[in-house]
Amino acid sequence: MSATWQELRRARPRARFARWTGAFAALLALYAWTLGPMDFGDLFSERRLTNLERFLQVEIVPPEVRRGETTWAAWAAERIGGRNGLALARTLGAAVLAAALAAAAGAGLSLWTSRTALAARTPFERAEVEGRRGLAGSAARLLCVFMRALPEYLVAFLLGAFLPDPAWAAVLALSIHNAGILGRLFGETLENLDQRPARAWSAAGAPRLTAALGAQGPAALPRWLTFFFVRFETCVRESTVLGALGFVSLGHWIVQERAAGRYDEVLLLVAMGGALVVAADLASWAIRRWIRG
Amino acid sequence: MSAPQAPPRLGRRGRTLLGIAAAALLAAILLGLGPTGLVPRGAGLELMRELGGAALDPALDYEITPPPGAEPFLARVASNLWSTVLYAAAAMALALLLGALLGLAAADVTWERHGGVAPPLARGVQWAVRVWIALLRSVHELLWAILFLAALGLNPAAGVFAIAIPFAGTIAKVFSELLDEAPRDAGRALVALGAGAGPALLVGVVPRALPDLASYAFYRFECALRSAAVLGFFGAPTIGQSVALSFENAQFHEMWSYVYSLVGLVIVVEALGARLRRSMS
Repeated sequence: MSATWQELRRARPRARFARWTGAFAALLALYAWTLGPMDFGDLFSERRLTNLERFLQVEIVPPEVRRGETTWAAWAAERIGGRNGLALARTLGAAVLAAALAAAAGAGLSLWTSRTALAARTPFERAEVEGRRGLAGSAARLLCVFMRALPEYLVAFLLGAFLPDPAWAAVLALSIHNAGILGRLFGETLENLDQRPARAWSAAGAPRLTAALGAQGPAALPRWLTFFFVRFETCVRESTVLGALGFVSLGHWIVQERAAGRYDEVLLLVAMGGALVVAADLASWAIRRWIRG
Repeated sequence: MSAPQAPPRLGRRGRTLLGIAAAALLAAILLGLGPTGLVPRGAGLELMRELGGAALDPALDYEITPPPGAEPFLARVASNLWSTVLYAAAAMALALLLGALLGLAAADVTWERHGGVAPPLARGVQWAVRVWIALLRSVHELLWAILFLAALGLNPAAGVFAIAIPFAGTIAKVFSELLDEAPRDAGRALVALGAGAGPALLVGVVPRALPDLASYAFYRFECALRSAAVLGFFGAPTIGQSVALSFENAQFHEMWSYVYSLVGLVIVVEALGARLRRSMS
């Protein structure tokens, strides 16, 4: 007997939770735009539009360019080296170091966030580790959730209050947030691997940690490297603003120049940050491609 | 006949790992980082102790008597969180709209015609959109906020636009990749039956990618909450502003209450996102 299309329609799988979530999200967005913080009357007021006009026509144009003494390109070329070039290098340096530290911490955490990496594989191990392993796994997953829930800027703000070196505050803030993300992603990678090689190592007498590192490490590495480079791109992006908290990098000079009212310099530094992010994205893409061969 | 070459001692992945370690070491040297920079001393050590003690005992009420008529402390925390949610929701609504349109324009599947080849003009438009997306993503939301603050002054809409612009770029990039990875069999079947390319895309391909698109949009909302909170450090009335103010006033117990409430909110949104993924899979 064939079903009518109404019957088929009624019988189709429906994700009620997804529908309710979608409806709630739409209502929330509507509320935010109509009754929320947006004040369009003020945004398009005469005063704001005059501000915008002055900003675009006067403040972001270097005085030398306004007077016709030089061109935009020549003006920018003069300023890309020296102090600004060093700030760019320090911004990149903080991102590289933070991503590497986050990957190392994430790899360590993943042994516990994964439900399989250090799990008992033989009856002897099962009796010994079952309860302890579950508790440590839950603690590690909770720690990762907490680490990634904290915005990097907020962590850098708090660490910068008591660490003597603001560069460490920026690097650690980036590392902590990204270690929380990588700890989870690396752990999920380990869980999704074929578990038979690790079982074979354990059956041959290898301790659990040796079996996890020796049998699963090489298989997990390609995926881990992909995640590392994706997070590295994010670190570069975030690193451009953490200088606002005292770490001498692009963000630091952006805040300084803004305080001095030199918006032409601000715009140049923002553009340098944007170029760094694009270059890091391209480099990361090229390296991932090269690794794949 | 040439002699067989010995395989390299270190493969590409091994060399990449070594490269990362070397780059990290160089970065530490460039930044002048040493172990002494990690050890708080004097006033820093005292502050760390105070912050650490307060972290274990977050406030449930104001630390000093508030002015008459002030709302209860927990109501203030809730209203700060609500304000953060509204900023994030307004920004995400705009970013999703822009990101979805740009993502469609940047996806290969949108432009492919019979035989899987896009016309040259379409390829040109697609690459122009991809460059535009890269530019949108390249500037951090706080830098947009600084520029808007300078151009327009303090206005909530400027904060919302500051988050929405880079988020639209990121959403567009990921949406285009998800659309290209979605199965195309239903879309091709519709074209074979005589449907136009547009309807075949919207009815045959987009619904197949919808669970992943919705899941990613939810993740971005979580990121938008964090960004909206941080905008508070630049003057927006979100929870970050209360964190900064209570820190400046040395009301560390209150500060941790704000921090924990933000963490709690992000964790709830993450849990909802995980449930959404499960319900759509």
